[in-house]
Amino acid sequence: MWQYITRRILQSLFTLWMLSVITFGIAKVTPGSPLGLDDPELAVKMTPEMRQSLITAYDLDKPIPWQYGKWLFNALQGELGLSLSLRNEHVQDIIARNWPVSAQLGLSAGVLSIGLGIFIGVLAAVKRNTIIDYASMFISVVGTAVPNFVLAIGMILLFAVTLHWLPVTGWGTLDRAIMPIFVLMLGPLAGIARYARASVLEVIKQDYVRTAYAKGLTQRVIIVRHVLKNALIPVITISGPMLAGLLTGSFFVETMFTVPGIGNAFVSSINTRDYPMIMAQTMLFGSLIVFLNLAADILYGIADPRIRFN
Amino acid sequence: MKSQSMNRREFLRLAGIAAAAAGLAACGAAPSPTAAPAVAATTAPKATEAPKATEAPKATEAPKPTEAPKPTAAPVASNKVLNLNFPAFYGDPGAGSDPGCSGGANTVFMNQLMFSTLVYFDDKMVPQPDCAESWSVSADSTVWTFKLRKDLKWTDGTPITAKDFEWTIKRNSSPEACSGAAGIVYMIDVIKGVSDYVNKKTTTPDGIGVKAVDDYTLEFTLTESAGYFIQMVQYNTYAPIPRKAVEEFGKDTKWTRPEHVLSNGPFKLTEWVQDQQMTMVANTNWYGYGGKPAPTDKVVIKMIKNEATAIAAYETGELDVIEVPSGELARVTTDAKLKDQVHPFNELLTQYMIIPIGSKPFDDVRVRQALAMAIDRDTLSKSVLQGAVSPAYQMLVPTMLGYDAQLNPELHYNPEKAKQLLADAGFPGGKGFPMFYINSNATDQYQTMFEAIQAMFKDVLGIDMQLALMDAGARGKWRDEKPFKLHLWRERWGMDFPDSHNTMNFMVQARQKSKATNETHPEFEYKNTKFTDLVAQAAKEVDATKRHELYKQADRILTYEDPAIIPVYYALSNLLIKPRVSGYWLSGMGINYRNVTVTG
Amino acid sequence: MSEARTEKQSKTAQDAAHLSRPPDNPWIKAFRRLLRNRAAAAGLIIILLFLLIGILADVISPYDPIKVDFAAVRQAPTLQHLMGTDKQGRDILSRIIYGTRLSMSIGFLSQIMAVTIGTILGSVAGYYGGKADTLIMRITDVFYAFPSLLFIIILMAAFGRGFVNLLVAITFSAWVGSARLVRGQVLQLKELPFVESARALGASDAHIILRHMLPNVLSTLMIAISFGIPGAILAESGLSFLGIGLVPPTPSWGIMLNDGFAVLRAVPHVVLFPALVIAIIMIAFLFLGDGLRDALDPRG
Repeated sequence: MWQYITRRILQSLFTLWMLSVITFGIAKVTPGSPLGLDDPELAVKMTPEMRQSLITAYDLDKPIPWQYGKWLFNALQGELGLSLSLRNEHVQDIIARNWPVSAQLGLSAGVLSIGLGIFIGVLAAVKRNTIIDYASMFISVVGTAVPNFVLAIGMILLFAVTLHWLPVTGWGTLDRAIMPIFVLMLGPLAGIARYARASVLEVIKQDYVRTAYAKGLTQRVIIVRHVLKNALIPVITISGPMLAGLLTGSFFVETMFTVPGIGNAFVSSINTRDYPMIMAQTMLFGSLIVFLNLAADILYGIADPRIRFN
Repeated sequence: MKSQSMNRREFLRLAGIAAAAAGLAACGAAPSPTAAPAVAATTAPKATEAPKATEAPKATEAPKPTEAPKPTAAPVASNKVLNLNFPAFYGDPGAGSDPGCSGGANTVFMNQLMFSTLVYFDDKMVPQPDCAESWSVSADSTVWTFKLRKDLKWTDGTPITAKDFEWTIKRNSSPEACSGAAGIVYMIDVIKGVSDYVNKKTTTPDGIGVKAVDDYTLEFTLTESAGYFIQMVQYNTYAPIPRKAVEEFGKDTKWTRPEHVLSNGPFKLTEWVQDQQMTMVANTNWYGYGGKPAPTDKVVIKMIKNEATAIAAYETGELDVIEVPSGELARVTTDAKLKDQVHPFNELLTQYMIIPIGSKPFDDVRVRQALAMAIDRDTLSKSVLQGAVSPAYQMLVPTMLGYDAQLNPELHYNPEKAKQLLADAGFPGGKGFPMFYINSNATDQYQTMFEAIQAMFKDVLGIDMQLALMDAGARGKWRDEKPFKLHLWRERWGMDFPDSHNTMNFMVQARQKSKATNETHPEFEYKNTKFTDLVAQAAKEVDATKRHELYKQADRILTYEDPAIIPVYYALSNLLIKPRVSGYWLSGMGINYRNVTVTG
Repeated sequence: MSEARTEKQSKTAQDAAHLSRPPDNPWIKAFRRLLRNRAAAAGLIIILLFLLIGILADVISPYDPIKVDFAAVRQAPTLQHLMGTDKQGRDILSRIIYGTRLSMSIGFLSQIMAVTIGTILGSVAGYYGGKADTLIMRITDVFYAFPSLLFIIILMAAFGRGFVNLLVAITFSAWVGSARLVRGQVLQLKELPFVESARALGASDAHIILRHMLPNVLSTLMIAISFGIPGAILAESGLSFLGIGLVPPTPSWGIMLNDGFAVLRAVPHVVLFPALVIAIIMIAFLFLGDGLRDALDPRG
């Protein structure tokens, strides 16, 4: 097993290296340039020396492989470069400041959606074809089908503008976190609930569950001891990537609720062609996806002894 | 550029330049102008009144930008807090907030709260004494003398003298200082010697035409007569900069951070949580309060980018002033509660399209005129953009010299004449006319506008214009692509100071070969020397009536006789302002908060 | 995904493999099972309806979707304009009808392309193993590690806006899943007796893959497609909503959402109808996907 894990980690590192090469390549061939160098209207306000020194300062005149080499060399030492749009700030500082906010938001939404999703899914499966099942599936369908922004604006209008229960802006207190967490949570929750429900229904049909019923065990004991353990294994596998997605921050939820996270910064950095930011964030998110998947696989193996690591 | 209507993407561009330059100043270990005279404060007058301890709200310790954002500011005892929104603060504390580097909308906005310049504009945009008590000008309008107030102080209580202003101008003119980017444009070619110093023809700033005659007398010598100079000195690059702070913390432009900054305006910066909010408290050392308690204790500037969120925050009372998004205008102006809180005003901002006059078929004047006449600006303004703009038929804006509602009657919507002109140019019914693009930023308002114009061109002229909407970052590259993609280029000009020279001089510079890139887009180059001469002549002219005529002639050439641009609209700004806020005023220069009063 | 997970998937594959043997066509059986599931049947009918709307857009659309009418901007629904008009006075119903064509094209085309790429790479990797497998799987890993929406955003920034570019960008981010899926199944099928006997009879690799393996993978791919299409449709709306997808005035649901969002509180119908249509199509695909999964799983 350790051999398997070591091999997977090495593979993951290779994957991340390739990811950095590809992202760097795409970012560099993307038309447009940072620093406002190409806007003819604004160029009027810039002297030729100023323009040249900007280009030199950010190595924009060097060949792309050279730039990549420099980036990699520095990145390995934890120096991710100066942001081109938030000047005078190191990218690692920006990430250290903004990502924890996104992670906090994403983790809260993730934990809640996994917990509630499993609860709703299992309940719906156990009470199949009852009003509880239909109600929980309705939640699930709404969560899947209602666009984020409709939900967000709807909540703002209801809870902030009309009822004055919650503030619209800011971050850092519980009342400010409720709406963004809810909006972020509902989609994944819907997915997990449906998945958990299907999984439980499948397990319930298995022979050993029937045997347990035949033995006269109570439904509660059967569900908790026999069904949940097996039914939740597939849920783990979709939770990894889902959590990775949540932890990377949501552009929309963050701008809508003025959450000072990193999701916002990504779209901005693409708009401004802020290469160091694009690189850093892609690598951060890529690492999250790769390692959370790895973790999910290992957990999966531990939870399901039928799986051999070969 | 104007702050109020600047959209985010566009702002990023501007802030980018100013901040980029600032970053560079940091990299290049900028030496301060060596020969600048020392700020000798020996003759400074005694402070008439010691600031009372009770007045000054304690500045909360500003968190370092690297720290995780803290919950929004702790509740303050006072209710006299003004909550503003400035969606576009995307820049680090420091770079871009240096008034000497001004140009980005964020800089202009925050510096107006933090700094006092020589004059300020009243609600009629007439210059009023600010740091300068009075001023005089030589007969030929080339030597300007300002008498300064004797009670000017920095936020730390130390006095400000004419030498501070002199040092500031020289520092801002330094090729290494950040002003090398945007703000310098309002000193270069105007004040004697600045151009030589910026372009490194001289190594010291000694030749620059600014002099502290004594502690309270400041004298500017200009390159040529410039009646508009009094308007120009209101611009941020003329605000005094604290030499002490710059020399101590100038590296990495850290001097503008809350913990180091000194300013001389109504408010002082005490907190800047990146991308979230900034806090300013009343500067008790500002002369304008006259030693009395400030009518507003604190200004909190939030940075809410989403318009729907901002307007909701206004409705919940989290914001006191917001700009109404054009999509919401119809609702807000009919809402029983909100309609009385809407305050519209004309911005000095023209939205226009630049014509590729160097390319066929746009080299034909008739084609350019036909395009201009095919746009139904009334419909565009009223129906499509919901009254958020008003039609523009020339470049110069109302209230400015050279504006005349009857200047270009021919440009008013005239489908028959437009068709005729296009037919005369060889494209009857648009037949044979090549497809072309409009290159614009991808914002809701621009998209809406150009979808409408696209339809008008199609319906009236039978020609196809495709929308090339993209990020600001991609527009320039797209324009540079070879072979040239036939396109109109969307641009806007918001005046930085209220004199037509500001606009027309920009039109001359921008339509010529780019100074920075040393390359040119022959397609967009405007070689009309008659226009250039008229603008130059108008700049020197002191007599207002004559200037008015000169600018009228120049504008008519630019927009009708030999059009280089198609003016589309003048921007209107609609602010929602809570009744608890008073003492502000609105003018073409935006909202002025210097006397703002907030009641609990 | 990993070796660990493909074991689970292989169970379905094995069952599917047995299924393809009996003379009674398993597809027909599965289809009957699908129709017995009311939600799935409803989903299927809705999707077919939308497909029909997309195909017949020119015929059934009451107005030209990009024809402006400045005299009738932002009108509430009336008999003339059943869903009202937008900021240019364009008929929202007509735009939704043409938007259906666009969204369906993007959904189906991108998934078909993605699945084709994924199937080719996955089956080559799974069937031949060795270096080809290692190479393809490492490439797959890289694409899998890309945050998908952000990947599309980067690609759109690089390519520029437009239908083809959007299609390519979505495809690029979507083929990975099916490649992994197909590879896992092919790995299992390779060891099964009927494949070995085919090989013993001298069948070519291509023949074995095409005739013996792919039919068995098809059911899994269909499930993947049925969940992938709504994903692609959402991606289009999301990107166009952010202003980096299709070019206005194209009648796309995402562009319509974007148009409507700015006036959401002033004239809600402009955003309401496209949002509703997207919700309906999402639910339809959700039901169909769930139904397919049940129907194609023989234990169900």
